[in-house]
Amino acid sequence: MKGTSFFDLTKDPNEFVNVVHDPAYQETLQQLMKEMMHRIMLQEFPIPPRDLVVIGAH
Amino acid sequence: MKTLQTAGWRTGAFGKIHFYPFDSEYYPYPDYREYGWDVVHNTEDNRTGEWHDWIEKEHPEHYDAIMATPANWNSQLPYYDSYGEQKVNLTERMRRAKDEMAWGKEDDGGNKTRTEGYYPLPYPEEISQTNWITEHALNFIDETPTDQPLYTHLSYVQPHPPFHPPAQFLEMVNEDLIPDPVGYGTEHWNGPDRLPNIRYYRKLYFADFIYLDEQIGRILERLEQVGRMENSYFIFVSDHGEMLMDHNLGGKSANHYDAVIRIPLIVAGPGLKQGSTCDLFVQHEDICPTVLDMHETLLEHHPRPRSRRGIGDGHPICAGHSLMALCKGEQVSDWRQSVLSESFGNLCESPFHVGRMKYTWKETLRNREFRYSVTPGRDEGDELF
Repeated sequence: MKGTSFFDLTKDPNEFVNVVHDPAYQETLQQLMKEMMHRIMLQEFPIPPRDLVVIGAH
Repeated sequence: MKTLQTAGWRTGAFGKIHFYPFDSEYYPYPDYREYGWDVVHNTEDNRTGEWHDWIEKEHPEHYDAIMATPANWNSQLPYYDSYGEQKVNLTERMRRAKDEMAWGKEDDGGNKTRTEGYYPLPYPEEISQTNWITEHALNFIDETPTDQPLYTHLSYVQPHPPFHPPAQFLEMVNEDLIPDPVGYGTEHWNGPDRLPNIRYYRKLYFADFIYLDEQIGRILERLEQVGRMENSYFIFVSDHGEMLMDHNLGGKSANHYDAVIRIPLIVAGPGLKQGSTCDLFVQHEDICPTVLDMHETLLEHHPRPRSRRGIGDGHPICAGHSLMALCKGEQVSDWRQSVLSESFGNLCESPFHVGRMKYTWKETLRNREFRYSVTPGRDEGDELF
């Protein structure tokens, strides 16, 4: 997980401790990774991703 | 902007724009009118362009002082070594100006790289970049017929490192209200103890905000004078926050701490709820649909997205969500539960870390409980920020 940071803002609001390697957070981390990918793909919405591929925007 | 123009609005942009072409084709001035602005007066962090040329011609006695103010990274811009028709070497001029500048004694730590990031304005306030931007916006308001609607993109460069507010605004800052940086005095602080420097750095930042407040007051006053005030909407927003040495980091850097990604967004105008706050997640992409939602005629002039399959009923016509319902105090359902932040910037542009820059791309997903950030291609180990 190089170049990655993950903070539990409830327990660590000042973002001091990177918990990316903490086994207790792996499930949440996987969910957020999926959500981020989803958001990146949809961020040009309402231009459909199919059109974006055609014009080479992503 | 083109939608506004089509709908009969007069559009103007003053100050920082950051549109293409930015770095490579700066002189002669790029023509940003093709983006849909009727009037543009542009000046950016690097200080070159219209304002720079005006100072050089009209106020040559202050030219050296102004050339001491761009951040060091500007010398990396391709045109900086050969600016304008005379192909002037601005890098050389900037270095000489910085060498000759008499920096304030408060921040004189015997190390010049530390002093270049924050100091009182070394030339008169009346000719500052901030004042110049305001003046052009005021002229735009004056020149627009009072029966024509107008849209003003008023974009100040300051407060932005290097901080340099006019000295008179320093006296207005109540230092006792400024907290010390996040992490200072804890085991997580990994930098040297420079608290007096950091406190002064923060004081200058807030002084620049008071200056900004005064300048925006001039705009409001003028809108009142020309009879536009009660029909005007205002959106106050920033493109990024500022670390102010939290975690021993300055500037926006390439990190996505809350200090950088949680920026102010204030919307005011007729029919909107006054003095209320909202803790829902909003993004810059919401500003376009919000503006289109401010006047009933605007949406019909906005181009529909292209698609080979056609656009069905209820399909949004642009990214983001209008904030008008929220601003009126109405309840909204099905709002986004996280924000996506992206940046492409240097790793560290703190005045305390000059010379340690590296360009990085960064993606962040921030919800109420977690922040997850990825810096692709970074291979030196785990991010700490």
